[in-house]
Amino acid sequence: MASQDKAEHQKIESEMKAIFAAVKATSITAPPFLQSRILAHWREGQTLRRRLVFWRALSFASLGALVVMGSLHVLRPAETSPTASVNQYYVIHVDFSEKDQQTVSQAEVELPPGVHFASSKTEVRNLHSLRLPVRVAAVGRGKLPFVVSSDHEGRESILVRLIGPSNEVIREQTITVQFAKSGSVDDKAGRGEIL
Amino acid sequence: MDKKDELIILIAKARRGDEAAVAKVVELGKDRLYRYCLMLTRRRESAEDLCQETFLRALQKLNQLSEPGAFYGWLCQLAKNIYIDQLRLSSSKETPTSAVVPEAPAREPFVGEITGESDTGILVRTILSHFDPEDRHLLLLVDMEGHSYLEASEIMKVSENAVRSRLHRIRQEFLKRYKGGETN
Repeated sequence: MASQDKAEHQKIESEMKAIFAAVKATSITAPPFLQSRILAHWREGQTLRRRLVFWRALSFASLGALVVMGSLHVLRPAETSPTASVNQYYVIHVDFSEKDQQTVSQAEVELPPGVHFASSKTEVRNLHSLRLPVRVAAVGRGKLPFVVSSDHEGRESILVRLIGPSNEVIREQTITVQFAKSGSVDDKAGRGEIL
Repeated sequence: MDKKDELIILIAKARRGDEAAVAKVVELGKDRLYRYCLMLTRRRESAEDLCQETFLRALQKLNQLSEPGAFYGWLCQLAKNIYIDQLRLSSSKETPTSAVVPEAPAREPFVGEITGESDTGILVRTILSHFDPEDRHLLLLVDMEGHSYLEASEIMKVSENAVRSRLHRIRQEFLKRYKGGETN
């Protein structure tokens, strides 16, 4: 029975192959304009892709420059509070003392209303506070960086709590940042030190 | 160097944006893909559009082709997927509540529409209209394009046994209509 089935399968397969061989034997060819149309569309796509890569690179470079400029404002020594532009990313570095480096395992950053963490995720941007793990080796010379932005002008106080391995609060410190309208940022920006 | 090796080299160059290689890949594959699209869609205009769209998408996705040697099978699978997407799109625009995917009517006059096509070709296209696109695709992959059951199973991402049993059913139905003298 199995061999009969097999023979029937093979017979059917042969018949089908013969039918389609007859179909393939005819000279059906693609229209002559098809190839040039495909290539024209392909070239157009290549040009658009190159433009997209260029503009994307330019926008990343601009964003990078903005972040760097913001952090330079923070790090430059000055007597006044650091100044940042409204609605632009701003890097703040939390400095640790030598003793802190041995005892601190986390830093909790608490933001005032209107100041936000920089993130592509809405749920992170809307957070009022965030706990960041602190690994002294990873942060190098005892600095913890984080990025914020503010949607309004004014002097804002950002609270940083240094937390030990048993969840105990070792110390609280305040970082004060002056947010000003874009274009009016003070040259003499201060460091983002814990005051 | 055989044709398969030549194609592999061309695809490697086309991936890097070499226009001459892209042109050669299209030249080597267009007739074969066009014939496949014609059998799948059963209409000349649809076959031309589908062939064009398939090549453009394939050229964008060349980096996703894991086996350059399997280029033609991959091309056919891509064409089938694009075709089904187009049918679903036109179906949702025209009859949003209907579950049936409309296609070119089987009673369209095919005679004389395709230059060089034989009566067998016309008959085969007519019969194919009675099968859904997935069944047509499988039949064309194996019986027209010459892929083995194993190759077809890899292209369609189903088991080889599923390919064999499904194909047997399709072939039986096809031959019944073919021998019964299916007409427009």
